[in-house]
Amino acid sequence: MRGWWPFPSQMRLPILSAFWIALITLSSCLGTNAQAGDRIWSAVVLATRENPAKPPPARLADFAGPLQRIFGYNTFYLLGEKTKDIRAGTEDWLVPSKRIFMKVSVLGTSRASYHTRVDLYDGKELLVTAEARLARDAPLYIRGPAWGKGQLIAILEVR
Amino acid sequence: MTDRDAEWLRWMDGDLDSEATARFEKTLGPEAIAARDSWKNARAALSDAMRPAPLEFPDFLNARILETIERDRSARQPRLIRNLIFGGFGALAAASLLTLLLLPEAFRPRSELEFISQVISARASNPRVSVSTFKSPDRGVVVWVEGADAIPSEEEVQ
Repeated sequence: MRGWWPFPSQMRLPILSAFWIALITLSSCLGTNAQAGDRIWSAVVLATRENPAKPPPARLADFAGPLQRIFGYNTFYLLGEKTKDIRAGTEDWLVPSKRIFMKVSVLGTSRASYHTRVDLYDGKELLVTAEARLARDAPLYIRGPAWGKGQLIAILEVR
Repeated sequence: MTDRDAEWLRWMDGDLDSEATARFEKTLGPEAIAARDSWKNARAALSDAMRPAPLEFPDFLNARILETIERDRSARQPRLIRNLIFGGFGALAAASLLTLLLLPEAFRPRSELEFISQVISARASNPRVSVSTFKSPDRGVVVWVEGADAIPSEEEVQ
């Protein structure tokens, strides 16, 4: 034991403690910054006005209130959803439905959000390109084209 | 060592029985007998000298020794606690310093803006389509696309 330790033996405890705590602190800080394990959830929703209104599907329960206030519809159908891992420097196609889908490029990350570019497609046609900072649990809603009696809405959320 | 040497040692130590002793001593001269006697005397003298001297107050001495051991042990305890305390504070200081040097932003207080989604820019590829953005009530953000061609209800979306 004595051979490999270059410091006086009284210094062993403080130096080892410092090393471990520094290591733990650094790894936790790095982990927070990289937001390892985050995923991006995408969905295409059909919003309609019906009388009486139908309850939202369980997956949309948290979004029903904001959707109603923002878009003014009272009934929501989940047409499709997709979840993928999200990392800096990646580019992913999110295809929650055959007709409405998105390409999400992660341009960078900060401590609490992702800097992304979102291209929303209606079939082969690029409808809109948005550059956005997506914070965790703070969704991006995109009002898409109308379909039949309702309105298509795309939702993106980092989880 | 030869058999004779071994027998010699056993004779010197008195390990031979009387018959073997008598037989062996017949082969020795008087100087050997004298040497054995001298060795016996020396061994007896050594045994006497090495016998521990009786203590005058053995219980008192034991008690003092135990007291000294206990005193040493309790003196070591505060030193360990002090080392742990200093080690802990030293470790925290080192970790903070390293983090401050390598990741200064970790010490910057987080602003509320970091926890809401924001649209930096949004544009439509079709000039007939207009795009506007605004905040949603749930820390989110809305991209409002106006003027996109409606999808006929008979076309499949799902």
